[in-house]
Amino acid sequence: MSENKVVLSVRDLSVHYLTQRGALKAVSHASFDLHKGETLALMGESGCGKSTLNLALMRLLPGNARVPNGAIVYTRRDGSTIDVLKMNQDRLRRFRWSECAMVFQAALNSLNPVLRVRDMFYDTARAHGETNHHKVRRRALELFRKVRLDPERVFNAYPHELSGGMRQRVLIALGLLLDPQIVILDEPTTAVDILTQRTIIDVLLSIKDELNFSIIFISHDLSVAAEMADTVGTMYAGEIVELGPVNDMFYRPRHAYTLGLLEAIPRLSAGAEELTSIPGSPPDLVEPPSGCKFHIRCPFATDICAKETPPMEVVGDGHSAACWHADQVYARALQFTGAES
Amino acid sequence: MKRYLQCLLIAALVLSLVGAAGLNKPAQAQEAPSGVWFGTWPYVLPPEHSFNAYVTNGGLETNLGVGFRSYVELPMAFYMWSTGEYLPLLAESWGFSDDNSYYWTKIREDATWSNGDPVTADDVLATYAIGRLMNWSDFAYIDRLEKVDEKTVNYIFLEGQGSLLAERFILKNYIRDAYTYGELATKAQELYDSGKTSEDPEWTELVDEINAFRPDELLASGPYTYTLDDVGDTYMTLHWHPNSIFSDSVNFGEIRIWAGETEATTPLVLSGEIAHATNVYPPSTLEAFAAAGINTVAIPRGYGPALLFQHDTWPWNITEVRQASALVIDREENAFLTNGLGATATQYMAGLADSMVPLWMTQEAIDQLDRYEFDPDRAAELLQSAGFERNADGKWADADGNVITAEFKFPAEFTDFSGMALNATEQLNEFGFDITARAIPWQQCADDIRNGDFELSVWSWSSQSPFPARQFYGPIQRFNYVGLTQGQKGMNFPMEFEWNGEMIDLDQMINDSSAGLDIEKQVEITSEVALIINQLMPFVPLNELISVEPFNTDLIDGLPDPDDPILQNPSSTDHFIIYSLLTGAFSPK
Amino acid sequence: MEGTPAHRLYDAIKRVVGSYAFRVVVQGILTLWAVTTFTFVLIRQMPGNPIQIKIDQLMDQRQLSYDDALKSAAGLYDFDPDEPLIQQYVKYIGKLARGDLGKSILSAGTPVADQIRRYLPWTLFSVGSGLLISFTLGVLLGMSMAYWRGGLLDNTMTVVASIMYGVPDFVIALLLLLVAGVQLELFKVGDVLGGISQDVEAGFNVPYITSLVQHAGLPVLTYVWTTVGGWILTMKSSTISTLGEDYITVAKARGLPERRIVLAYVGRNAMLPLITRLAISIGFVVGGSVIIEFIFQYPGLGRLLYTAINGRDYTTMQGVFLVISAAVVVSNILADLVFGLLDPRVRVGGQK
Repeated sequence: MSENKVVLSVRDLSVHYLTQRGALKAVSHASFDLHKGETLALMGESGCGKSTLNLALMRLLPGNARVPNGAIVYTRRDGSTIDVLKMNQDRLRRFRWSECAMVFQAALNSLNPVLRVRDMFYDTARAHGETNHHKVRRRALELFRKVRLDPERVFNAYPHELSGGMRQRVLIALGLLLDPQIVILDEPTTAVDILTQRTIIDVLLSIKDELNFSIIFISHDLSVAAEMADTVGTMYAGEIVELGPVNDMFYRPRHAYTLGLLEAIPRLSAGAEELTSIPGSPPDLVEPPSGCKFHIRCPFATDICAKETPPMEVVGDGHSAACWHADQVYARALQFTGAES
Repeated sequence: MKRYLQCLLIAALVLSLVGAAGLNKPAQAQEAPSGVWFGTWPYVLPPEHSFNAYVTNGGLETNLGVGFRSYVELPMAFYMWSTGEYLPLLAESWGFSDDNSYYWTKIREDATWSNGDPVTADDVLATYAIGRLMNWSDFAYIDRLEKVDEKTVNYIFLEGQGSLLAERFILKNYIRDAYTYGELATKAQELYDSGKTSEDPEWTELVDEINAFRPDELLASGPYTYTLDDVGDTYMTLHWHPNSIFSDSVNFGEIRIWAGETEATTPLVLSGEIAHATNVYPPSTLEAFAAAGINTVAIPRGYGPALLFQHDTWPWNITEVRQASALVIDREENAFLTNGLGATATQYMAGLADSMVPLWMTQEAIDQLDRYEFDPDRAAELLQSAGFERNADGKWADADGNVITAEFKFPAEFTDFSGMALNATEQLNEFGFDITARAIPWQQCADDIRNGDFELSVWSWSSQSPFPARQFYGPIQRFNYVGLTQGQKGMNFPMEFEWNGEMIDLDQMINDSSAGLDIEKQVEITSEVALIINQLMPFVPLNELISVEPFNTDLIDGLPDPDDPILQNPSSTDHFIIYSLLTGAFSPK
Repeated sequence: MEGTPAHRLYDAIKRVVGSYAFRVVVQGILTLWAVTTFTFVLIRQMPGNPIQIKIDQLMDQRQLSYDDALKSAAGLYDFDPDEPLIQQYVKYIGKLARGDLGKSILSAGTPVADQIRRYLPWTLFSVGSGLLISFTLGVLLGMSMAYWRGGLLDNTMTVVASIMYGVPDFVIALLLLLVAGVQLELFKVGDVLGGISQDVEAGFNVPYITSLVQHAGLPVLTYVWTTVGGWILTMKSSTISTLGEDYITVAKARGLPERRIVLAYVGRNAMLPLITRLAISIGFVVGGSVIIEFIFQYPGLGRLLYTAINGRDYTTMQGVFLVISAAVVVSNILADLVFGLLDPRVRVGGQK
């Protein structure tokens, strides 16, 4: 973290989907800050609300989604702030991509198959007032070089002429075209092979150092998260249950669910018998369980867990967790990870 | 040079003006009548449509139909079914020679074509010369034609072929003009005279030449004519001209013929734009006409559906089974379900149209006819006498327990035949037969009947000809081995059998029933044939169809009274409209 | 060796044979030949033949005996039903190869080519404009319905389109005539039948064009009525699935204006599945719409085909079918090209 300036501040954000059975509470009361140059990784099982949260940040939610409460306050480069949720359509449109870009999972489908790569660059630039093709082209070629692509070839190619890894990097370059302050990466390495994965991570690390933007990062792959992230957040059933610096989160977790996720990763140092996956499945979000939503699956659960929702409490420097049994978790984690307290 | 050309042009102009004025016969001060007649006919459009009066489908032959064609090309005479008499059209007199070796016709003295030329014997000769090349069936009776004088032609019969059938052919033929066809006719006559037959290539070549012939204009002996520009997508127009012998009597200056068949003409009739239509409309449409206040006129169609048996197959080869079938079908009900008011139950069951029975049978024979009144008990007795019994299921079976069962094939497209078949099946099953009705395409059905590939089926009986041999012809000759090509057995009813102790040949008897000119003898033979058919029931003549035709009395005056004898003429031939329109019985409102 | 004339010729031949155009033409000709052969055999499998049908007619109408009717019919038509099929076929293909479609059997002496020249323009005009309207309307409505899915337009039009799609064209045609023409008297039935009024001068003038439109109105309306439902429903489902694609969300995330997204991102992709269908429809435009033309007495190929089929006019049927298949083949080639322009993934003669 180069500076401490907050570029995005999310407060008490909830997202509900209207379904026939009632409101599906996909995100509940999420709050976090993203600093300039910081990489925030969000982890959690599928369906935990990570992707919904990201879509909400750019107001790209589908038609049946509602935001009953919360604020997404964005700080512009000049220091002024604005709530994304309160922008009108036109301002929102201009805000998108120029301030906050997004690289989706499954890069093949993220590019319009009937357009050339260059048209998508021109489209994007024109939408934000840049009609000079030469300038756009120069910028795009520069970005392609940064993401280690053959600039000329890729620029004129159709999406189907590129491999999965190339497309992913094209998207990253496209994301950086307007020099946004924030780039949201949704599973950027999931659909590609292991070597390409490596390349992409290297590219991301190098351009991030160079361009100094902030990243919100979603991944199943905790090792990627560990490598990329400054800060890690754990989401369960639509809630951010633990948030903290990457080392604290991986070595000294305070929430039973974070610990569960860590225990599910095969480690070189550990024996096979210690590998556990979390039993059970995520809860119904239309009628979520009372108290701590994880209590049904939690090995540490006691009566209080079912009755009362644990508050988010600061447990360390920049580290907070919502767990009634944070101490037991911590003790078990030390034993498991072998880290120093 | 320039000046010279100018002079020449002016001279030509003046000359043509003078010429045109000279051609306008001052005598023809006549004006076209003001009325318009609106009819319907599914004519085809150019390029198929042409004035060639010999090609089917494309030429006059089919494009005006038998009705409208008479307004353009007059036949010699018009037949009245009620009296068996001919009324004069193009001819003023006609008849058989005393020895019946030839027939003669004399064209009206004042008959002219639309261009003013007289209609002469040469036109008749030309007509027949090409007709012979086109294989006209007239030449089954006629050996050759002879011109007697400018207006009179003798038709020399082939040995012993002089008959009422031959007369009908002669008097019904439309006479073409030698002006248009003379050259081809000469070629045809020369070809025939040189002994060539249809096997020779020259013959085929000339037929091709005739087929390809496209006259530029139409010469009309009737009071109307038209050009190809008058043939539109939706209607074609026949225009009155002053030179016909009927030009004075008709009351319409134009005849507009709307294109299309039933579906296309229905809305036109409903919206009151049609004077008279010959299309066959289903009962529901006729009801709509009535509701819209459109008058209709009912005339016989000249035929009706008959139940056909396969005589090669048990049990339909057993006379009692066929008789029982005739007894257990309520013909009134069947007629109604065949075509609503457009069908009437057969009364005499003689194989002749009911209206023909009093004309062609002796009273004694008529009294002997079995009317086959609806009588299931009598049918049951008949079957029992033939060794059948009702089994436990109420089905009729023979002594070995074989149930009377059959498949009834009928043509799906013909709603009247389908209606007849479905109802007959139902009534037969009610009595205790086991019949399954099966709809197939009509062409297939006709093929199957010809090939004998059926058990029960339906096709028409009686015909549009008023003479007994033709009335008996369908289906007992037409769909029987005697009238088919080799290998086809049709209904397979044996025509030679013992009757009242002597061998008879029914096929020959039917042919004899209209042979020669001895009417008394014909009545005798006809009576005998009718009684045989009535007794053996080789087919069951269930009903006769009636053509219910819209006739818009808001547009036209002169619809005959329902009991006018002219309404006994059937719709498909000798239609009353033809004669009434030509002779001026109709007039615009 | 390189430069010898023989070599150059060989190379030239190789280039031609290997070229895309050559492949397409050869493929087209082969398809036409196969279809022609197939229809040739098939139409002769229909019950009845021209002679047989004429015989039936003659027997019914002119009370001829079978033999007399056979003689007359054979004299009328230049067609021998007993000629072996293979012999007929060889004759036909031989003529065809010389560009001769033969002469109509029923309308003896009339060349089939003349018939097609007479009727084809009408069909192209009426069904062509019908297809254009139907397709455009279907695409616009279908897309709108997908956009405002669940809205009033979507809910009503989905029901309406399904009903329109399900009602046969002849019912619509008759209803239009009977309800609008006869009962409501919105027009005189006689004025809308056929292709053109008889009293107008052919040419580029106002009365002629007015008459043209007036007469094509109902056939086109019927055509649109019965086909637009299909386009609407296909376009709607195609648009819905396109809207669910990630690149649409990404396009929104990129801040693209709605107009650009609708046209280049949703529209272009959603229309891809419709292109093949459109190509087939364009091909069949040529065949006209038999029932519609029959009822409205519209002078198109369908009307010709109707008479030809009824009378088993083999040569005319073959001619019409050949034109239809040629149109389908050509429109498919065109569709391939257009498809390539719209979708680079299947670009013809593509890089990969």
